[in-house]
Amino acid sequence: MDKTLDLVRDVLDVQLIDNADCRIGRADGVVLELRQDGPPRVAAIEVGAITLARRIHPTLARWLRVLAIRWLPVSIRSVRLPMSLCRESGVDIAVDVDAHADRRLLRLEKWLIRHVVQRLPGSGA
Amino acid sequence: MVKNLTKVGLGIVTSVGGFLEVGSIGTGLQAGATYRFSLLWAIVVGTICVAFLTEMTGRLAAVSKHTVVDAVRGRFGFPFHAWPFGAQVIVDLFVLASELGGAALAWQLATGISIRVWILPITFGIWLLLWYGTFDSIEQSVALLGLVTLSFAVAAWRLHPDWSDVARGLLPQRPQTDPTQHAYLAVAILGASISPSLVTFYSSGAVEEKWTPKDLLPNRIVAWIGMGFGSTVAMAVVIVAALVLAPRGIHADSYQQAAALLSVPLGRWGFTLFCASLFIGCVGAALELALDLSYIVAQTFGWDWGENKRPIEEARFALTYTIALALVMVPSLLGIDPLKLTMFSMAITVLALPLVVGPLMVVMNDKQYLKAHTNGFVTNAAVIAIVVVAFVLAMLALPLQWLGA
Repeated sequence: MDKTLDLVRDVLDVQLIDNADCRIGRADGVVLELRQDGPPRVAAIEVGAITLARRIHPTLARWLRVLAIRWLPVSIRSVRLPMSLCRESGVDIAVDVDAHADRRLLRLEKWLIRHVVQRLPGSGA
Repeated sequence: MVKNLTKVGLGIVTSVGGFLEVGSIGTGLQAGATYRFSLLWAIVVGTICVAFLTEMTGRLAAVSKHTVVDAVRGRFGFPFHAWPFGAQVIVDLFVLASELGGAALAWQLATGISIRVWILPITFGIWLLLWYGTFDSIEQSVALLGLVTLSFAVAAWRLHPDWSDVARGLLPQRPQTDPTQHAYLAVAILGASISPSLVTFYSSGAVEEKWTPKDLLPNRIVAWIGMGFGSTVAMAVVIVAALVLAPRGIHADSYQQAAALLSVPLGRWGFTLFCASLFIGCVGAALELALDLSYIVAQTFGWDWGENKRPIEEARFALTYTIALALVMVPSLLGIDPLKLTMFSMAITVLALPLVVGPLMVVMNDKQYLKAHTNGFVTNAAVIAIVVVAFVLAMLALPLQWLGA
């Protein structure tokens, strides 16, 4: 992204879409890189429920992590998408990834498709 | 022309959820039976508020291809959005439970067989419609079947009301008896019609139907025609109750008391049409609410969504309504009275309303989303008035329910 962006207005919480125009989550957090020779730089966008929970309260994020480890079949660890892959697309952010091929993205969605939805009649499988 | 007719379907489906569901029919019957036409003004106020809200959210969707939930999370951030989101999930679940109870109640009235027996097949039927159906098929079938509720309008017409009396009810007036219950019913009518789910459902529907800025004029017409349809039937319910139940001293405290309502003007078909209207209104509202739950959850977390996609293309979206439907069957299976559940649902709906409607004051003036189509003076004045109404309703709901219910 070249032009100046307001981090809170234009990046945080914005919808992310991949190369196939698939909605792949929201910018749940931003990762800043502190530099000695200049102002902080936005290094990546973070996507994931734990990042989101941390914004409400760190304790909520800890509980969510414990619950997810105990009960969920897949990891809900947050994913970092480098800022170099991101560009503005209207009010959304387009990310130069293919979410269905990238194993880090949509882990719960893919697990649910494979283990639940695909086994039900009428799912379109 | 045909394309515009299908858009009217979205307006009618949305209005079914606002005006023709178990809560609205229940409060309409009580209002007419107890206070005759004197609460018709509350339906008019509710209609104007809902028509403005749906027009605005349809405009947002047509111009930006984004929904209200998208815009609120994008503009206000998750720590704020968590409040209206959490409130709306709770409200949608309770209202969905009431609608399933209402649909089962319609069959109980028709057959004498308990709600507990009907609740499972009805919920499963609704799930099948969502799982196999598309947004268009659901929208068109509910809009078409929803026309059966016009039987209330026909009944009102056949009862030959004194139209000057009816017209007087369109203006607020001081009740002759029990002002607390009168005020409570006014709040209940407004609370049942100005529902947060209408706002989020209509904008999601407009995105599903791929509206563009070319659809702005149809959107305006659809919002007013759709809400006008719901409002006409809701007023007809009050008029029929005023002319049939009030003279007989029946207060419509339960649906069982009111079930024979349409038999007076419509003869032997009246009872069947009452049950059919209640069933179709409740099923339409349940479909809308189940979808709305999936919409708001998916849009909050940025998942892919759309009822026009197959479940395999958006598993989390489809499983959200599946889990919600399974959960909300429980109150009816436990034998909780649908009318009590409805009254509670309406009270929490009113409490959640300011949280959902308030952010629209900012979102509808955001040029990044709405470009040249931001709110003008009239729509901004309308949204401020609606937010004020929402706050007043939220403040009054619980004290009045305690004093007047």
